Amino acid sequence: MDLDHASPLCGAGMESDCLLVRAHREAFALIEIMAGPEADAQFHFTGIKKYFNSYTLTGRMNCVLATYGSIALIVLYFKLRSKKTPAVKAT
Amino acid sequence: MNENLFASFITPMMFGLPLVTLIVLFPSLLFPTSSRLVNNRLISLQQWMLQLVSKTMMSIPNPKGQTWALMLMSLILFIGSTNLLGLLPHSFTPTTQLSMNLGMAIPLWAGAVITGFRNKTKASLAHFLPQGTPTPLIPMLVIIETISLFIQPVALAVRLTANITAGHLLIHLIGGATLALMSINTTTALITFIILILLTVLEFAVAMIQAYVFTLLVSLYLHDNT
Repeated sequence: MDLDHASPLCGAGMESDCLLVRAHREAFALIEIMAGPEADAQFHFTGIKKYFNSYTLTGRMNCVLATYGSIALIVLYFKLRSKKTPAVKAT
Repeated sequence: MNENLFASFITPMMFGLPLVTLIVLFPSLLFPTSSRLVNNRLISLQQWMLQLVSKTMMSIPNPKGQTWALMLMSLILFIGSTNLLGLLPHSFTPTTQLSMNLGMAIPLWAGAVITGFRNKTKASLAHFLPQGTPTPLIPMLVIIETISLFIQPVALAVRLTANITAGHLLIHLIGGATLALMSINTTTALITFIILILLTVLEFAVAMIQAYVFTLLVSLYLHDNT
């Protein structure tokens, strides 16, 4: 892809602008490399790995939700446990 | 000198009324609008500069991200002009106040993140786990990525505040040192004065670079979420 003339904003006598634009494209290209829905088709997982993996979009989302859910459960457990524990009475 | 070191960072008041609003609004007077097709030199120069900046920054994001072009161009103009005006002697720089920078960073970051969660919920959630992470590291990495997400607006604000404040403090200190050395050793005072000149040139660059970095990072967060 000819980056110098790819953008309609690059015109004659604006090579320096195109260099800046190219630098930005390279910086943003790193974001584009990350997997999208179209890239998920290349992975063929079975069983639980189909839903919980760190490669597909769905797998990553489920792992994140599972982590947040676990943290919420742990917090809830300790909150409820501290309510059940009776207060120490002075003798 | 020591007791006046932080005097320039105190919010200015006049007859008990804060002048900050006027100071914050002042840079907008330097960018007049015009209804003419062919403008004067000042407006033509400003329009050329704005076109250059918007070409550089807004050619990359997708069309949805480009709807933020006006906001981002206003942001870079405001921060750049405020920082440059702050280099005038005895002037107050609003961007040295963390409250002001947080007031800019948090709404913009939150807007980008909420836009991402609304339009691309799956992708936004999947962002919290880098692709290819080994399974045992997943919980830790999710927590780390969550923390890094919430640190973004704080980092944006603190970066701008610290850079501008540090530069102003250095100018103040080296200027005071130059004055003090003049009566002691003229040669050393001359060297210190040269350092002061170089530092002032650096501060001009930092003022513009920090505006650019702030806006670029906001556009990066927007690009992640659109």
